[in-house]
Amino acid sequence: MHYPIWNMPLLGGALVIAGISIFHVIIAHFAIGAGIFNVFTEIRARRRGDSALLQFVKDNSIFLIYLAFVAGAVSGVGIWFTIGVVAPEATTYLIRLFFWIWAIEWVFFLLELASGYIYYYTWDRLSPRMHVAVGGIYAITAFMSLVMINGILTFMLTPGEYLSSGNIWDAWLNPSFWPSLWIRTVSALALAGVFVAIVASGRKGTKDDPDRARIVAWGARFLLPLGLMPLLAVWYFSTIPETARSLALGGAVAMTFIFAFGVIMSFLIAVYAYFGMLRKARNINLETALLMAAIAFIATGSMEFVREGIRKPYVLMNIMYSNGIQVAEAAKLNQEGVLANAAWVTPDTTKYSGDVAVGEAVYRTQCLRCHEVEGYNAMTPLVRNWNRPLIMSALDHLDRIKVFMPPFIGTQREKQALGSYLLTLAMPDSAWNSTPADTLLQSVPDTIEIGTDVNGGTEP
Amino acid sequence: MNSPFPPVPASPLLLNYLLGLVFVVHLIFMNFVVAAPLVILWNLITGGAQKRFISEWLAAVLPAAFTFTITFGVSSLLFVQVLYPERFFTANILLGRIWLAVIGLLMLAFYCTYLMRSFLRRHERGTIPTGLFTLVATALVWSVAAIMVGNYFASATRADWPVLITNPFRVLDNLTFSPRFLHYIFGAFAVLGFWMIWISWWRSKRGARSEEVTAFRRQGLMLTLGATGAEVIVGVLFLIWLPSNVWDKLFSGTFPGLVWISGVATSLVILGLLIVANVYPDRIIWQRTTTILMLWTTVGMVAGRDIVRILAFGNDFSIDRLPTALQTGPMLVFFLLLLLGLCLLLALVWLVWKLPPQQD
Repeated sequence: MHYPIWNMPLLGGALVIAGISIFHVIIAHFAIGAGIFNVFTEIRARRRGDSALLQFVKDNSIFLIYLAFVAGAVSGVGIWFTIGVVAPEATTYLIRLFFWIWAIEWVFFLLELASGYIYYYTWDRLSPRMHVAVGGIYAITAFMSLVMINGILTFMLTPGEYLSSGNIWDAWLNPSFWPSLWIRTVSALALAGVFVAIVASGRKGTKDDPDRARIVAWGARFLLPLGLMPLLAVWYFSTIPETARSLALGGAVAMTFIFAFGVIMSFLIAVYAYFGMLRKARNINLETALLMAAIAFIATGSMEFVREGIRKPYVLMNIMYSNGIQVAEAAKLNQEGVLANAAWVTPDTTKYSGDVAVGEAVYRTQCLRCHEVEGYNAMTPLVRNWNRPLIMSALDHLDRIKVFMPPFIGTQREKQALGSYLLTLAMPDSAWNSTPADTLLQSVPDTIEIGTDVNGGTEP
Repeated sequence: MNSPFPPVPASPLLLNYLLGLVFVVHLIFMNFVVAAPLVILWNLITGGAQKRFISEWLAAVLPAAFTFTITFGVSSLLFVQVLYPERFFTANILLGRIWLAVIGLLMLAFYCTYLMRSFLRRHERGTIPTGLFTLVATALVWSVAAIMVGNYFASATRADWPVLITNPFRVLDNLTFSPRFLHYIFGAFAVLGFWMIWISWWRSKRGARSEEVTAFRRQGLMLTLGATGAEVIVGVLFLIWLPSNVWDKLFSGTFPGLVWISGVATSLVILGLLIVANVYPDRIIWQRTTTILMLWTTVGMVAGRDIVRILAFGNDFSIDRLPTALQTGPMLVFFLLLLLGLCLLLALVWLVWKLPPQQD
């Protein structure tokens, strides 16, 4: 409404955000877990005089720099860039509200990078005590940056008391803050453990090295907290709104499967880590380590996907719908119309005529953020073979037919026009695209065809 | 349309000053990243084995410079987003996929710098793969620089938005694009020269051979002199090509006029001092003086950039009119942590500073 609407043909903007976010989350969580792992492991290695373990931490610290300081840092910027393009209204809202929280996070980030570099470059040059202290600074600051960001992420689903108080601390320390922080901490430690297996098994000349299994077994301890994931998930779900909970627990089948997959996979990795890697100290090869990493990544990605998905129909719970329209604006827009208030959207009369042109413009304001015309989660297959009464019925009860859909917002005239446009997608082979809208509306059959899925829609 | 976005959580003027501050630091690191790969390549091609150390010394700093460019870029981004969301996000959306390409370009460039450094360290590797990665890194970083310049134009010139929404490449139609981009690039080489002066000083403290230190410093001094001269010429062209409405306003007020005149005057003084510094490359006093003036000029340029932006916005937008509601608690926590963080950072730098030279 306040900004031009950007679209990514076939993929859709939401998928672009999801891709970059999941990529970043995995690396960022690894950066946090690896910091904690490195410090504890260095202390252990020095106390026991374990030179092989010490050398491993050294190798792991350069791996951390190559992965987290490059791909992690740049993809973090990438999230800023992407959300600013795909969801500028939500980004504006969050930036204004959490500006100082982000600024505090930046201080931790700066210290994290500086101490991370110094930790790596001063191996064998600083005294052991001082070197561990530098590693400790890295671990603490990396974890604190997670703490700061966690409050912003959880706010999006559970704004809690903020909605009535408007207080920043209520917004940040919201109801799902603590369970989410625990889940992320466990994930971070687990990802560190997974990468230990990769780095240990990927090093040259260590195939028959007896130290390798020992190092992997030590790393496996960091995977064990994953066994707590089902309990943490229960805690987390007890803090989120009922509508969101119901989506994950059967309300949206895809969400339920993805959520169950994430929790079960996490638990199974913990079981494997305990029995396979720790108790029996199996010598894991690189392929197995990579397979385990892939499962862990998909599990992490699944949980992030569910977290994003169950927020629907909001991008900011009870504040802003996923199409960028604020809840507080809805009444005004219903009265005045969305197009009258959308500076960047005008009917494209070069491609469409009459109501269809108006409807296509309404489509861009209300639907395009999530539904491209064709491609992933597209509109065309969703309405294929629908007729006008069915389309209008769906638009009338959009948020009731599917709880993850926002209500239609705009005037009746705009709703009718959107219906006309959707009809051109529903029956693209007809000559309706070029037919004047008034004629078109009169010619539309008003019967609902048997077999049409009235609940037709898509998962969030 | 009026909408209930939260108000700005501090005085916009304070945030704008902080933006200027972090942007200067961002620029100092960014200029190194923009210019260093080409200088590395130049020395690899023309210098042979004798000048390989120049490439190695620069490549050793490059990844850290890249990291801090991004870190201080993030803080600048934060301030821009809170103060100028309408302009900034609109520009991002208008550039769309070109803008998002920055993510991939940056990541590739960053990894190229690591590969380049790794090849330079392993002397058995030939010059061709090193040169190739250096060339690719240069191309990638300069592409990002061009996109950033394009984004600045898109956010500043609202009148161009109807054109840009149909074709984002039309940002190149702006007459000031080329001089601004060249100014950006020449400025980067000028700042890199200063980096080279101080890296040579650091290396000499760490026991590097004096002839290498001198050769490195001389190249830095020459680079700064040449690039500053070119920058002054391009800067004048840039000013000439500014839109007339901006141009008229730019020199009409007392304060903006003074900023620009002092900026140009300082550049000319730096040029003169750099000639002296080139004549006496071992006299550190000239290098110190020109470095201080260069930092002052960079601050002036950032202030000038802000003035151009304000003038380009005209009456459409002013940060003074932004709704504001101070978030006292989080702001105090931030400043307290910033203070503690900077102390810790200084302690870490001190720790590294006191270390004996590395033996490898």
